[in-house]
Amino acid sequence: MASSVIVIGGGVNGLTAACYLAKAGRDVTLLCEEDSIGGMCATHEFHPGFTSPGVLSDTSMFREWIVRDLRLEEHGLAFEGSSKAAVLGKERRFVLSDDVSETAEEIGRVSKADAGRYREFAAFYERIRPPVERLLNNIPPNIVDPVSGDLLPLLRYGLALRRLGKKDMLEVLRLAPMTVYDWLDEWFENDELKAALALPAVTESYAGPWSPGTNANLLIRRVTAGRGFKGGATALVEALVSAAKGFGIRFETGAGAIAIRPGEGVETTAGDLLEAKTIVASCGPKKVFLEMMRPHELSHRLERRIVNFRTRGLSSQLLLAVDGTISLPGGADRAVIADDLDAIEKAFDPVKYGEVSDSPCLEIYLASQEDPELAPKGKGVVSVMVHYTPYDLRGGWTEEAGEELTRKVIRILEERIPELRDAVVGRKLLTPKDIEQRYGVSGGQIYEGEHALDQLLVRPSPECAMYETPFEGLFLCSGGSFPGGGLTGAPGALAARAVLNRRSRY
Amino acid sequence: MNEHTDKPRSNSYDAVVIGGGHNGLVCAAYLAKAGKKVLVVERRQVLGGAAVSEETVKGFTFSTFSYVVSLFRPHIIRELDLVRHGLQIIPMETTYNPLPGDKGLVRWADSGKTRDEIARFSPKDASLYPEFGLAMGRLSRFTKNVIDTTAPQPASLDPRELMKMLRLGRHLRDLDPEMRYLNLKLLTMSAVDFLHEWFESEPLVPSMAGSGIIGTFLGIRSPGTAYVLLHHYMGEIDGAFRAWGFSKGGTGQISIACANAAESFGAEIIAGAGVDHVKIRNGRAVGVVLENGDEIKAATVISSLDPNRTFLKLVGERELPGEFVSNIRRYKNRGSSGKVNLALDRLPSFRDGRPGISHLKGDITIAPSVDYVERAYDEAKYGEFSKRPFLNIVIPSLSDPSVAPPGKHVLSAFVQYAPYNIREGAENWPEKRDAFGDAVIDTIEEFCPDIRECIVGKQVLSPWDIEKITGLTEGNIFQGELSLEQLAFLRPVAEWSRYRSPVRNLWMCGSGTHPGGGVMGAPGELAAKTMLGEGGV
Repeated sequence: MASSVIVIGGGVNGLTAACYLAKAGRDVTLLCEEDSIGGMCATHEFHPGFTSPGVLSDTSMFREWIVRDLRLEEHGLAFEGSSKAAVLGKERRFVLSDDVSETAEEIGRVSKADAGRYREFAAFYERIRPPVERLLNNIPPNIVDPVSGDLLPLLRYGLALRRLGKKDMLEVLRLAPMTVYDWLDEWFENDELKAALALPAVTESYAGPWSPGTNANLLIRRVTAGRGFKGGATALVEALVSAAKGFGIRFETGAGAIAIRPGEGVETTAGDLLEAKTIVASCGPKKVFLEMMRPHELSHRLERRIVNFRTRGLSSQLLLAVDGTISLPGGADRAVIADDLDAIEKAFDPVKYGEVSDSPCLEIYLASQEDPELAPKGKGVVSVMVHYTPYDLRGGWTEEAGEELTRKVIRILEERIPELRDAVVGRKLLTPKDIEQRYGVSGGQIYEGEHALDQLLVRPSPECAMYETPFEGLFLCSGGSFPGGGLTGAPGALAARAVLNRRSRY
Repeated sequence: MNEHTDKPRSNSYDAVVIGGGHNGLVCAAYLAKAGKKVLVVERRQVLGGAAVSEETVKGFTFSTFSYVVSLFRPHIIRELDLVRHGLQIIPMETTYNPLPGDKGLVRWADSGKTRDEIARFSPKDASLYPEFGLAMGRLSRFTKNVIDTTAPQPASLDPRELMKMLRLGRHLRDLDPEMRYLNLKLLTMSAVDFLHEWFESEPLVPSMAGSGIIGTFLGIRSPGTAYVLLHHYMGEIDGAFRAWGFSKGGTGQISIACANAAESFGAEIIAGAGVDHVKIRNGRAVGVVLENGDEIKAATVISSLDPNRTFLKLVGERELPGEFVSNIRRYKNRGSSGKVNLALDRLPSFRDGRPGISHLKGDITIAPSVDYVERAYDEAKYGEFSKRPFLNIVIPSLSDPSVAPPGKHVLSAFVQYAPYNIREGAENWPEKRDAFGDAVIDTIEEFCPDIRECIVGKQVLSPWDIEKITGLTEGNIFQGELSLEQLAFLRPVAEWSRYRSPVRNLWMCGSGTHPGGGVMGAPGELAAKTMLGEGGV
């Protein structure tokens, strides 16, 4: 008999979980306010006529097996031909893409040696992909409190690792705890190349490239990244919504969730109690346990662990409405500005003291190039992720502080993308505080929890690390669960698997 | 102890140990004890490597480099009978964190007194402090299982290795889940994040976190630094947990006791005899050639020097597989610390107004806030020494009057950060040395206004000096960073973590091997036992 399930939140993970559950025959209600469908991919008008992309926009890590399982291509989702990111150096520019030979050729323009090394680098990750993918695409074993059933998967991971052969196996064990700085330094000589490869790996945690453990993030990225989708995150969300409707999921969009009553249901902002035995929450763990449940329901230990789950937001998003079209080298829709690894580290340093660097590192996304509907004809929308900016800025995120940061970023942008000069007709800055408010993510942490080794291996806490919680029928499925944040769909899919594994009860 | 000549009595040995640091001496002692004919060759006149006592200023004995003991393995003390050979450890009972404009924080061996001190800053922290200590004590017992045996070899298919992994697994299983979770956090988190899960107050957090960065080129906010906190709870003297101490007569006395023990078992030691290179014939080590041209034959050659120096200087790339050479090249030796030793004609007075001197007998940490220590690191990352460094100061003469003339004192300050690779290039350290020493004394002056008036002699050691004097590559006091990717089965490099090297009959026994740096004696002991067990000598 199908029992009813409520999925809280209509982000990519919530939608994915809902689809899997409905596909398996569950009667699913998705509870989410209309304008927050898409979660951190949700768009909004930030300047008259100009719509922003979400704060998460990179679809290249969305799992291909989910696309297949949910038949998302039948719902209009199509892979991009290739994904390209331009490196906007001080003097030179080159383009990195998912095509290894093309990228190696591009790198050859700045360093002959690095071109060859890049081929080896890519081949290395290709070789070690199987065991790492296996780990990232399954419910994680409980390494803190394994019962005999968990030892088997652990053993299987061990065997998969061994199958790599001694040399690669030891290399995987060596690289995971390293600093991304040391690792990339072992491979490459060109500063801008190293910085461009490192930046995405360090923006997910309270860390610069000098921090141990950052290399695990690079590993995850290199192993899981593929091609993104045509039309970007908007297209992904539309396909998921269409698939969800196809599976017969009910969308309850009149109100949001305000409180969780495990075993009973969910209270909505409209004051109703929607009943369901099973609740799957796609909001972050802090929100679930510290805001949506009654304090006395939590054990002291769980409360302490969730409070200690680190969710320090470090990135801001600057949205620009531009007149005319901006283009990047090689037709890329993304670009990186970070001159060397030390520049990234120096952008991180001030954050520790509640300050912002004068030279933040930037990830640029020409959103309207991918999705022309975001801007009026002949105009464009550019989204810039700014690293690093502290959530707790000393003196607070006043209007003045925001203005100052915006000026800094625009100065850098104008220097590296001269077409932007005089083209900006509207702009809006989302600081970590704003991101927290707009998307409801604790600390404005867009990965729902820092990607540090301890928080990746046990996410968010031992009793909740396998999507189940100590509460009957309550499951977690946000980026705050394994394998972490970003548009991967994996926590949603794996949480659904966890629910279905408990078939007898839920 | 006998004076050591630079001439060996024989020209052929079962084993010759390169380097008379404490690990080389421990290794030699175990081999001699097993009946082998062993020779130790030391480049300097003084034995001990980085564990030496030297009368640098007349009448004052400095523990030039390493200055406290805690991790020295108690079973080595017993097995080599080191107490009879002159080892005596004086316990340290306090950790003092002076603060500007306050009495500061003293943590005493007496936990009740410590709680009262902490309560001045945070009653909550005071109440959690004992619980924290208990948890750390339990974890350190687990960790001892790891450092007291050779490194597990996860890639090996040898049944003995698999058994060993299983045994470790069983130790891990014996911990309760809460402890396993804590262990995971400890291995991966930063000292500050880890401590902030328990404590809220400055100066408790930086005072404790400081031990996490000693000898590493990481900040207290860098992931991976929490682990070293455990060392403070792992120290044991005479089997008592959580004890740190001074070696009577200075740290060099440990080396002297090891040398005496080795000699009592029949080992021979020569000093003032640097090794020029390891003699290799047909891919086998057959002896060493000294800097003076003398050749010594040995069936087994054991290097206690760091991997970089051993393989790239004494062996030479031509004798080694290319992949091994590149692995040794990427092994990180990052000198990050310096040392300032002061001879004082009286005890300086602290600004804090705290009565008595008992709180000065242990270590004194200059780490007034988390930001202070982190800023010191931030400066160093880009090739400058910290203008306001983190200091770990000891005044051993308060506990051991034998190291200074009556009424006078020796103050030793361990300084971080002093990067080996300064922006101007390491070879320019001599020009920066004075400025570096001044920055340290200026820092001390903020807490002891009269320090300058007390100084009658000083020694300032940059990492470049440490390299010059001891030979430690880049002046790294641990013979290589103690970061996760350079520990256990990866120390010094993958597939060569069992003291053997790609050159047959050439072994390693220094801190660059498992379980790593610190005055522990463990690498020397484990190397000797492995060699004896595997017929390597």
